[in-house]
Amino acid sequence: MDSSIDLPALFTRIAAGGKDASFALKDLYDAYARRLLGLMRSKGFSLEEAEEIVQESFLKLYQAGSSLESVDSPKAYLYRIVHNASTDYLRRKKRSSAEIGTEPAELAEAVDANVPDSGSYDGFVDCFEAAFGSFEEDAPDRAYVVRLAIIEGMSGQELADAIGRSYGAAREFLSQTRKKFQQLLESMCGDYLSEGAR
Amino acid sequence: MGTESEERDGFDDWLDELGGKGGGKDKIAGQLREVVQRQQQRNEADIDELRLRRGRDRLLAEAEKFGSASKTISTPPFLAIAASVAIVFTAGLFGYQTMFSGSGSDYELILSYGDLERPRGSINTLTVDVDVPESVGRLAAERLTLAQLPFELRTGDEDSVRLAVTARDEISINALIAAVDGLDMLPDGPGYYVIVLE
Repeated sequence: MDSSIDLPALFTRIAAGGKDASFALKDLYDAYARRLLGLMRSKGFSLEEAEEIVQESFLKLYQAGSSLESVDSPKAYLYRIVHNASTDYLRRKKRSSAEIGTEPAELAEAVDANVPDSGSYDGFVDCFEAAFGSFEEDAPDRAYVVRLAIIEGMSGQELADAIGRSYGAAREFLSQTRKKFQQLLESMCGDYLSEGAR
Repeated sequence: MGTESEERDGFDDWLDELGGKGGGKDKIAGQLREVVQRQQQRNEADIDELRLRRGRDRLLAEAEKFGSASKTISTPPFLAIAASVAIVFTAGLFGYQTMFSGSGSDYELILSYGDLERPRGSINTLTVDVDVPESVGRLAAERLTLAQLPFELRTGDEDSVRLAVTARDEISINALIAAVDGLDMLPDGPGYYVIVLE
């Protein structure tokens, strides 16, 4: 992605409408499409599914028109649209993305049958990646905010905006996410953690 | 467990670590960051330039279609009324049935476009005002009568009528949607729908 991209300026141009709005949409797509497609792929969507979700997201943003002028955090807004589009996509596919309230113990139990014991891994890194993959499968929304925090370096407020929650609710959600992942990690990769990886 | 203040600081530190702005003290966050970044890079690398360009061309074509449709709803004199309300839809562009899901008195609204500030919300009441050519409005009124749905038909200017109807439960909301949906199939369509959430 072009790090020099001025996202607020692009939003302003799209909000203004006219021919320049199309040019701004093109610039926005060029700047973010690859990253968003990669993000959706990481969430487990096929490339074709990711393309559909990302297309829909950009189109919705464009269609928002003048309302974009009042957006405080364009980056969070963009990722929120993508998140909602992916959720809608899953709903349309009648696939459940619900994960809130799933306990780490349940997660570990659910993946236990598919995860070989730690001895079969090359090491902590592989085990860690498998753990996060399991976490993502069972708690996609939680994994999504972790990805946003890492990929975009979002602040707590930006993450709250990106998932459509109040700051306090998002903070609690993130704290729970952290705890749940750590518990799952301990249940799957405890041997490595006890060897000093922690 | 620490104090609230200590927990908040720890939380912020965790976010900083995820975002690459920490000091590398949290090994788990650091490992998580490595895993997510590696996955993201791998998934982005899978997407070739040609595919991106095709996606961009498709998007811009869709945006252009939307731009043309928007122009058609900007000309009627009753737009001044519509402008004061949150959302404007043009019949024929929108699948109304896909907008609502849920049961009982709790409906989830999923707008395809227009209300990106509130992509979802729980509503108990749906009000639809329709500004349409008089002949279309009277046909819609007939449908609403058949559906036993209370409505108000007010005369607009000599070319249009304003139809106001409020639905408050699942059956009546569905009847309302069914009544306004398909107006685009009528000879004098399309109509102009203003949907207000309460």
